[in-house]
Amino acid sequence: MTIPSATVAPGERMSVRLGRRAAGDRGRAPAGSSRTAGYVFVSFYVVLLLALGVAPAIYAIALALSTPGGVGFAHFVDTFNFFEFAPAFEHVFEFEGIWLVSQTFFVVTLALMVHTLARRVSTAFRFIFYLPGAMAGAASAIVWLFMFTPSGSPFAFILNAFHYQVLSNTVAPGNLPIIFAIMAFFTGAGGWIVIMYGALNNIPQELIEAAEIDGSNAFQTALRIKLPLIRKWIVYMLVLSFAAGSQLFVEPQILGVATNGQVPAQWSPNQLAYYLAFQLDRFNDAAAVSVDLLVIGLIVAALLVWRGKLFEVD
Amino acid sequence: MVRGGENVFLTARAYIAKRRRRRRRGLYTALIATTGLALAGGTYAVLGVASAGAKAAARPLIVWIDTSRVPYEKAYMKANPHANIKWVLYNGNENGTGVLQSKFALWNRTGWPSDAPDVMFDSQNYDAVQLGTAPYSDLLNLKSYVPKKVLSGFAGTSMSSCTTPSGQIICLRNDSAAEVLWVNPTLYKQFFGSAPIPTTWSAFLADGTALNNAHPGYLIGSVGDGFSIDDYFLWANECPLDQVIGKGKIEINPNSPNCTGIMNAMDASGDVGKSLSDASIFSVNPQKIVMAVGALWEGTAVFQTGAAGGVPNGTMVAYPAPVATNGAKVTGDLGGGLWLVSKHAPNPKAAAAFAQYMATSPNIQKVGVDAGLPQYVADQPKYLTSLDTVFGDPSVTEASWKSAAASVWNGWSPVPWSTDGVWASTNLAAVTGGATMASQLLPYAEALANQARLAGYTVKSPVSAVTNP
Repeated sequence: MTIPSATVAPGERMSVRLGRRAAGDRGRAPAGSSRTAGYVFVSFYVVLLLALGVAPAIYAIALALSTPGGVGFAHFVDTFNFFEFAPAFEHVFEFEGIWLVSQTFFVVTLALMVHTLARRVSTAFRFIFYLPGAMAGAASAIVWLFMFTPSGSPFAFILNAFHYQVLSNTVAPGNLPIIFAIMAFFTGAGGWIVIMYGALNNIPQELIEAAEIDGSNAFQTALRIKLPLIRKWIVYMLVLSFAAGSQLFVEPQILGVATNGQVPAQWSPNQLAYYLAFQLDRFNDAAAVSVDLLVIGLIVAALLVWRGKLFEVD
Repeated sequence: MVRGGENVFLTARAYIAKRRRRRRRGLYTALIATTGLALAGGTYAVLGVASAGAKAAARPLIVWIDTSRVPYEKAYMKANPHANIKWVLYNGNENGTGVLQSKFALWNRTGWPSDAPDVMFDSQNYDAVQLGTAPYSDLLNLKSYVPKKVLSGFAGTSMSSCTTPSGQIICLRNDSAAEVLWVNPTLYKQFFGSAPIPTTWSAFLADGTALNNAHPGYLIGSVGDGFSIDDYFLWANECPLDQVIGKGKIEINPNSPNCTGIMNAMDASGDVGKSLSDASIFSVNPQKIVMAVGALWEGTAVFQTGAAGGVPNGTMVAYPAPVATNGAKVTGDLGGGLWLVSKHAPNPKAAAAFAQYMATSPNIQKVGVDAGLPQYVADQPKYLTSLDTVFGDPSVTEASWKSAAASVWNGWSPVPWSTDGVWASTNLAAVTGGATMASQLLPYAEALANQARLAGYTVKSPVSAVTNP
């Protein structure tokens, strides 16, 4: 030892040693620490999932099942017998039918088209498609309200073609599902086009080149090669969109307030649950309607995952 | 030496490790303590405020008002500069947004916070009965706090919307929103010469028919809103579609001649969609309205009195609304504010006294045209003279206002659903799309009955489609 021990305080020496040790640790343990990092990242999500997803669901199920006489299905039966119950689900399924079909068709078609375009042009198009999605539900409801008002809309000529002279003509009960489908389409489609485009970019270039060498034209490549390869993404989009759509709330709620009640406060099942809880102070019934929604969402998601083979590895 | 050094090193390492552990443990302890404090914080704060309030009377009276009531706040603070009141602005529950309902529902589950309001201004007539009866039951029964003499000082049957079926007084009326016939005398003279102002619905609708033919584009009102038909035409004709007949019991009879009479008359006149506009009364040109049945506050709001594009000051004159088709001298009502007192107020006596002051004191009630005609009769004259420059023919207008405030039919009961909203969602599109008025009575009654059942009411009706969903 060249350094006299007397001149080195134990603490200093320690820190030198420790520093070296720490450096060694850092260099030595990438496998262990990355696993730890993985757990840390997942744990954030797990905590949030438990606190904001699982716990409220359990609370809702408990609320829905607790009746004055103990555990039972009375709240489910009661809510099922409300006059507003069946129409609310009909409204939402009608809305989802229109929305999911049109969204799937246009998103897939547009993504495939954009993918065959030259890169620079396709970037511009993707940006344009994405733009309407920058508007959140509440804001888009207000913008669309303006669009649907015959006296102020830039699309008044279309509304007039349907003989709509005043807002109350446009927002007639029969038109509501298609109105909300239009709103939801423009809010969500752009984002999905970008995601589908990303999925298409994952297709190996060799595969597409091989198809072209075999004489496949752009249309055939899109339909026979690209489309089957992004099928899982389409299923993924359907699962998420169905869940989001069945919980439709903001758009009808805001349109209802803006039209002084022309959209009833129980138009969608989620609105019905909200109305029961926060207008009529009937939390158990509200929980029952929410659990109905949860069950339907789970069943449809399970069907799509199973039929769409979403989690299978090729 | 080396050994000692090793020794020192080892102990030091052990020491560091121990310290680290301890530090970590310390961190955990701190974390747990903070979480615990945060969890306990709510209770702690509540206790702190409550005890401080008891000792030094430091807890202010918490009052929620809407923006239109800010002049009231200013007037109150001018008269009582040292009053310990916390004024909070909210939307006044306007258009049935249900702010109070959702807050109360939550608080009834989680416990009432210390900053919950003691006194609230509410712009919705039907809110009081909903918030004051089961399952809410959150409003103070003012019967033992407000003197009988004061309670009987409110105009006509106006306090009936503040009375529960079991007789509790759960609010005080602020302003009247009774309906009158608003007439633009300049236009009326231009089109009808010296003919008298209509006093019956048939004469009123006949004037509309005359306008359709000779002066298309001029209006006698609108059918383009959720509130126009049920408030102006059905309520004002004593049509029993919203009549609470006991606790949790409602009678809905769309076949009553009081309902069918006016609807058939409207269809026969051919006015709907013409001189009774399909557009909302708030979006038509106010200078084209010859006359319109409407609430007192509409005299300024609809006709844009004194504003650019509106009618000049001193134009509009209020006449009594047409006599009901059954001959009764009654009218409908559209809005009008309420003062509510929370049952959970720590000092109910002070809260009730404050609400009484706001609803009845001339210092408050004389303030501003927009605040509306005081429902408390003693305050009306002073308020009315402030309108002399706004409306024409002050003596006629003042008399019409006073009689309107006292003649609202009380058979259109406050209920936990919005009848306007039901008309808007069920019938409005059909009417503006050309359906007859008479064809709308049954679907409207059915939709009202469904809302009633959803809210837990039993429906009584001679029409089986209304009693059975």
